[in-house]
Order: sequence, then C-alpha cells, then structure tokens
Amino acid sequence: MLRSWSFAQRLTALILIVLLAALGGFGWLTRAGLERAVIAAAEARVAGAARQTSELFATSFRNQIAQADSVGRDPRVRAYLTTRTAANREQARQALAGLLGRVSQLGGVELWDSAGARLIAVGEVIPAHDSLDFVGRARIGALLVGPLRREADSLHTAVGAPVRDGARFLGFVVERRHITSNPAGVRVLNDLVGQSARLLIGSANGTWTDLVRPVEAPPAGETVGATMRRYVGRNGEPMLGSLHAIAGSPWEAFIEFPASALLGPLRATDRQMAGFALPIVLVTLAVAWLLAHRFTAPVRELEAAAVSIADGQYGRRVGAERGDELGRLASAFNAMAARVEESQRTLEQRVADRTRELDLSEQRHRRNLDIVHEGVVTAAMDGRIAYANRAATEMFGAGAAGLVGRPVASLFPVRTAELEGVLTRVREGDPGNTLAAERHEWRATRNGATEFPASVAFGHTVVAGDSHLVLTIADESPREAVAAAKLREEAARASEARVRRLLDSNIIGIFFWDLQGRITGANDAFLQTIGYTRAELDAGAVDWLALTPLEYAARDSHAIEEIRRTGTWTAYEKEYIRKDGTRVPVLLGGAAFEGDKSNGVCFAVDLTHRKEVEENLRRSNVELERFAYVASHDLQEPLRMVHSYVQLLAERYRGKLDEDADEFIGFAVDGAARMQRLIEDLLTFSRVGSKGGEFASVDIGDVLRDTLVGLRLAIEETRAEVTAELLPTATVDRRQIAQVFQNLLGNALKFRDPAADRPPRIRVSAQRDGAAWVFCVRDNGIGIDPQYYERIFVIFQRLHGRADYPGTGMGLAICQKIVERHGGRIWVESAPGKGSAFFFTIPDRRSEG
Amino acid sequence: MTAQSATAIEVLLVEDNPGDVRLTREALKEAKVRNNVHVASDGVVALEFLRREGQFANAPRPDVVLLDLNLPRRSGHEVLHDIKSDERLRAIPVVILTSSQADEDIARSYQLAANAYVTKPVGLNEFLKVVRSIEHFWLEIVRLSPE
Repeated sequence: MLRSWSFAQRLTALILIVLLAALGGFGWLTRAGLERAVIAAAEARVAGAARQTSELFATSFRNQIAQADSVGRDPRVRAYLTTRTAANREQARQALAGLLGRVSQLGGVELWDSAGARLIAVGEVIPAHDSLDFVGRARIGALLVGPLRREADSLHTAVGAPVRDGARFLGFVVERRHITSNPAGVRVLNDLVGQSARLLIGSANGTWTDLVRPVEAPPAGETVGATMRRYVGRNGEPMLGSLHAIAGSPWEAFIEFPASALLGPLRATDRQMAGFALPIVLVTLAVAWLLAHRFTAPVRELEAAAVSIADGQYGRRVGAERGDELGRLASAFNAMAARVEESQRTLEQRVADRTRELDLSEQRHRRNLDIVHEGVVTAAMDGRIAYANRAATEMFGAGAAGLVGRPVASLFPVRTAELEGVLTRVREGDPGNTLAAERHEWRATRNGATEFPASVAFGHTVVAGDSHLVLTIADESPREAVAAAKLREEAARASEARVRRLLDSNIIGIFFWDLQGRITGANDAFLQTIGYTRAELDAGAVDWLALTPLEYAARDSHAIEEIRRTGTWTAYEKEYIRKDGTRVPVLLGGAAFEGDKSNGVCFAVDLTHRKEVEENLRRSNVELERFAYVASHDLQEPLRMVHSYVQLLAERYRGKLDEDADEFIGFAVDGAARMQRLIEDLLTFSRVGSKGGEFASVDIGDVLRDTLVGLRLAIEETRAEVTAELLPTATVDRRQIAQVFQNLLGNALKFRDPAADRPPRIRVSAQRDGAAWVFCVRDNGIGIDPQYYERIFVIFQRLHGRADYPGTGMGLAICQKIVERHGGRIWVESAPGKGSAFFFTIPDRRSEG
Repeated sequence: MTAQSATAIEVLLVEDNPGDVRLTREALKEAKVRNNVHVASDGVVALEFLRREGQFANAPRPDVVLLDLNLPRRSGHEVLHDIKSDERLRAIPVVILTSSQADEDIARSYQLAANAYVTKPVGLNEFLKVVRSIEHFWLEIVRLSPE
C-alpha cells in the first residue's frame, strides 16, 4: 500500500510522525510527574490522618485502662491477690462486678494472677490466649490492649491494667470490651481522612471492622509510591489505600479511597493536553502538506507529461525554465518526446499499408476454405480453436456462436488421453508434413448431443515461428449408413436360413411372430400341438389372441418387455387353447430377429406328456407312502394279539406239551417278533416324508452323543471303540439325523469282524465340501463288495442270512430317505474285509442365506 | 396310601378286543390291590354302566376307567367327552389305553381332560408291565375323590 503513495503523501506522513512522537513523549513525561506528585500529596494526607486516628485510639485505650486500673487499686482486689481466701475472693468479685455495672461497653471483667492465669471472671469470658501477650506487654510497659476479636457479628477486645503493690506485681484486671458502632466517633474519624475515604481498623490476626460491622482484611494489592497500595475493590472499582500501626497497641488502621478521587483531577489535565495537541497536529499537517506539494510539483508535471505520451499524445511538452536538476531533466524529456512523435508518425503509416494487404489475403483464404466440402479447423497449440470454416461450423451444429474459443476435445467424445496423445504427436511432428500420418476414424459430437462418424486428419503448421494445429474433418455418416444397412440385411438372411433348417426338422413346434400378435409362419409340429391346419394358419385364423388364455396375458406382456430390452426372453411355461377348446401346456422360448425387434422366432415344446408323467409319479408316491403307513399301522393291531398270546403260550406251556409243541411255539414267537420289527421299520420309513419334523439348527455332536447313550449296551458288549471328530452345527430334523446315526452305528457294530481280537473301531467325522457338510461313519468291519453298493440302500434288501446277521433290510433305506429329505445323498466306500465308510451330505443352509 | 385296600377297587375296562380284555385281566389278577374288573365292549355300553341305566341299575361306581379309543358305536373320545362333561362322573379318573401313537389322538385326549394316556405296547411283558403300572399308580398311590 505504501508503494502506491506519492512523494507528497510520504513527505507529509514523515513530518507528521516526527511531530507526533515529540508531542507524545513530552506529554507522557509531564503526566508521569504529575501523578507522582499527586500520590505523594495523598500519602502525606493519609499519614497525617492515620497519626491522628492512632492518637485518638491511644487516648481511648488509656481511658479504658484507667477504669481497669481504678479497680486494680481497690483494696479488696489487692487483698485477694495477696491472700487468696474464699472471703477475699467474694470481696474482690464484688469490686469487679461493680465496674461491670458502671460501664456499659463492658462484656466482662476478670482478675488474673501475675502469670496471666484467670482467678475470677465476671460476665463474658476473655479468650485465654490473650494472657501470655499481656504478661509480655506488662513487662515492657506497653498498653495492655489485646487484638480485635470476632464472635459471630460482634467484635470485642481485651483491655487490662496491671495491679501492683508498690514495686510488687500482683496480677491484672482485664476488661472485655465490646466494639460497638458509635456514629459520632465514626464521623469524627471519617472527617479526619476525608469524605470519599474509608477507615478500617483491625489487628494482625485478620479481624477487621469499618467501625460499624466486621469486614474482610484489606487486600495486599500492588505498591504505589512509598506507602500506598493499589488494588481492585469489592465493587470492581480501582482503589488506593495505606496501612498504619496504632501506637502502643496490636491494632492497625487502614485508610482506603477510590483511585478516581485522587486521580480524577489528572484526567482533567489529560483532556486539556489533548485539547492543545489537536490544533497543533492539524496546523502541522497543513504546513507539511503545503511544503511537500511545493517541493514535488515539477516531478508531478513530468509524470503527467510522460503518461500523456504513453497515451499517444505525442505533442505534450513540459516547462523547462528552472536551472536546477529538475530543469535539466525537463529539457531532456522534451527532446525525447519530439523524437518519439516523429518515429510514431512513420510507423503508423507503414502499419496501415501492411494491414490492408493482410486483410485482402485473409479474405481470399477464408472464402476459399468456406467452399471446401470438408471441415477445416485451426487451433492454438493448447487445442483452443482459432478458426473454423463454414463446413466445420455446420457439421458440428455450432450456429452463430461458432466454434472459435472451444477446445478441440469438445468435438470428439474420445478418451481425453487418446486425444492428448494425438495432439502431442502432432505438435512434435514435422510441421506441414503430418496430415497423412495422423488420421483417425472417430465419433464426433454435434452440439454434444448426437454423434456421427468422422474421419479426422491432424496437421501442424508454423507461420513466422507461430505454431497452429490444423484439422480436416470429413462426415462419414452417409457412407456408414449404407454399410450398416447392408450388414443387417446379410445377418437377417443368414439368421433366417439357419432357423429354416431347424424349422423343417419338426422336432419341436416352431413359429414366427410379430409384435401385433400375428403368427406369420409355423412348422407342422407346432400346428399339431395347437390342433390347427396349415390352411387355417395361412388364412390368418391363428394368432396370439385366439391361442392365449386370458390369465396368461400378463405373463406374455412381461416376455414382450424382455424382448424389447434384450432381444430374447427366458423360457417359461404357459398354456395354449387348442382349436377344439382344450388346453395344452407348453414351454415357450424365443428371440427377436437381429436388427428388427418387432419380428422373431419362437419354439413351443408340448408339455402334455411330461405333465402327465409328473402327476402320475407324484400321485403314486403319495399313494405308496399312504399305503405303507396305513398298512403297517393296521397290521400292528392283529400282530400285537399274535405276539402277546404266542408269548403267553410260551411262558405258561413250555415243557408241558411235547418237544414239537415247544419248537413250534418257538418259531411262532420268533416270527411274530421279526414281523413286529419289520412293521416298525416300515412305519418309520413311511413317516420320513409324511411325518417329518421341523428343520432347526442343531449341534450334530450333540445328536451323536445322544445316539451313543442309546447304543451303550451294544458298544460295551462288543468292546467297540467309537471316536468322533469335532462335528458342525447344521440345519436338520434332529430326530431323523439321530435315526441315521443310530442305523449307521448299529450296522457298524452288527457287521463287525468275527475275530475276537478285532473289536469294532468306529470313527465319525465331518468335513466341508462347498455348500454342504460331508459326514462319514467309518468302521473296520466285514466290508461290502462293490457290486452291492447300490443294492444295500434298497428297501428289504439284505446281503446275509438271518441266522448270521438279524435285521429287516430297512435301516439303510430309511437312512437314504432321510438324507434325501434333507437335500443330501448317501453312499458307501468299502471292500470285503477292509471295513466300510458310509458318507452322507447335508447342505449347509446358513451359507445359502 | 392304601386306605381303600380293605374293600375291592372297581375298574371299568372299555375295550372291544377280547384279546386285550383278557391280557388286562391277567395283569390285574396279580395286582396288590383286590379289584373287580367290569368290561364294556363299546362306548354306549360303557356310558350305560357309568350312568347305571338298564341292566346296570345296580352297577358299582368305578374307581378308575381304562378307555380304548377305537370303539364300535361311540368312540373313546366321545365317551371321554361324555364322562368329563357329566358332573356326577367327572371326578372318575380316565386312563386312555390305546394302540394309537398319533400325536393328534394324544393332544385331543388331554384337551378332553383325560387323566393319562398310555400306548399299548406290542410285547406281552411290556403290556403286562404297563397295566401293572397303571394299577400301581391309580389304585395304590393316588388318593381318589370320595364319591
């Protein structure tokens, strides 16, 4: 900012700063001297007031001490201090009470012995810790005045007189005096220190009073002058005060007054000084300004002349009548201005001639370029367009605004990096020789909205050391449109030929459609499915409306949506109405033709047969389960009778008939028991699907443990060793999975190696395989020949004689049915004599979602 | 508590299968408590017995009813409903003794206030054991309602 100031302003400012500094320094010195003098005068006044206060108090103390002394001289008191009998004591007491009755300010009177111990006390008691102090003060002959003491809101002090008998020191008479408000006394004291001041009395123990009520001790503050301290008063006002001892007592007087009372007059002085200073500053400013202006006038004239010449007023001259440096400078300036005026005139003439020539040349070039069919654009090396011919302006739809000023990048929606690469290569290339080297088939953008194919060539020219980019752009859309139409036509022909071959095969129904719902062609297989003849199709009797039941309209329009979007649709099942009014289920799939999405081909697979088979299978499965359940359930009742009574026979008549009877009964009992197991297993088998429980997340380890508890007896009998790895938690029907383990472990125990030294060793494990758990129960039993791997899972199929291995042949069939209900599969890996490993999978439903 | 051991316990067995009747009798024959078994072969007869109608005018009031579910004429559930909705008969404990293991039968019986539900086991010894358990619980342990 300072740099933009003129010489005159700077000079004025300098003079002003020097003057203000001198004025300020003088003012400050005067002010400090005044303040010192005022404080010294105040200190002298306060010291005088304090001295008088001290004398007033000393007089008051002496009066009080005289009263105590009068009691001390009472013979009754001396008698008791000399001879301490009860009678004397009573007498002395009356003397003390007399004083208490006479003087109103007394709270109590006491008699102490020479060591300060209390002998008699009348009225209020004096704190004992004053006594030592009194003994000390008496010894040096000081006034016996105790410190100011406070009890609640009242103040008191102890005043005493020594009792002597000649030179002998007997003790003390001590008064407890109330310090009460005495308005007259306060006035006298305040008159001493002045109206605005305040007198505080107190002692070193921190008890203070303003002679009306107890107050806080005066603050320490900062020292000013010889005795003054300055601090902030309770109401926030700055205060001055000074502390003085009250002679002959442990009391002190503190006189305080607001600083404003003392320094107020100083403020008036400040204002007066400011009043003087302002006119001085203004006058100085004016004089400084005049001086500065006069001194810098010739310089400013030179400056104005130079500015005029720079603006083109070459005739301007300055006065050069002065003889000093400024005068010589002005002469030189005038000579220079004359030379500039002359050469400027010549130059202007030459420029005008040359410009006329250039304009003509430029116009010629522009006209030429505007009739060129291709777009021509020149740009600065940073890519900003400097010129565009008419073809380019129209090609890019730039209108009246033109392309000038826009970046080249805005013409082509190619990647910025690619365009930058091209521009860089062109810039670095050989000027005038790169048009052929950089040619690109690009998309160009018209108004940033529509795109068109363009062939773009880049070049680089240097004219008088100034480089330009040159682009020639050809619109390729007409050529591309022709090529595309040709391609589409070929694709459609190829597509139709392929479809035609498929159509003629008549393996599935195929027809051609359009989006108006017409069927424009179909093969025989399709006509057979819908029950129409080819003549009827050709006559236009068959269309979407006639074939489609109302409830499929929504599903079909969904498929049409899909065609519009993707050109094909996901196959789905629907029904067609045949000519005879019956319905035929079909699976529909198809696609629109390439290029024209309002036509397409569709296949229709007749699902009639498949639906029938599915329905039959489902029905027969349900019937089978029902049959198995009902049969086994109803068989239970008569079997129970047979079983019970054959057993009763066996129990009551064994040994009572002949041997044959025993044997027959034995067979009957055995048969009934076996039949019962068969029926139970059959019931279990039929219930797997129909009476299964809920699926829940179950710890498979828990299930296995429960199963092992049930098999404990068999495990102990066979001395089997069952081990289990850590098993996962899976989503299963707990009861059914327990059944699977029960059957597999039961088999492992049953089909054990007959050798006594090879007890069963069974290992249960699980491992993750994709989205499923594979469980394995492995044993070291007799094993299974691979040819039986499938058969063992078939219901009632057994590999061994009943005498060798009892069983119903249902266990593994039940396992398989349970595992399949869980969505898994079961298989075995085994070899005779090598043990067996049964595997089953359970999908991990948690991983599905 | 075997306070009733002095007099015989009256048992009404509602069962249409003579085989089961016989087995139940065999089991109760060896009971610790002296008992008289009365048999009703269908639901209608059972209710006549309980209500002392017709030929059963002098029939004793049973201390416990053993009731099959699968009965001719009036089913076990109907009989159970009739007993439990008759103020005079409601206090008599009814034990369902049936071969049905169906969950719905069990649930329905307890909804109709059956006192116990026992499935007839297939084996002889198991059957005898069950009947003896019923006898032990209902005739020896439980203190029945006085009339």
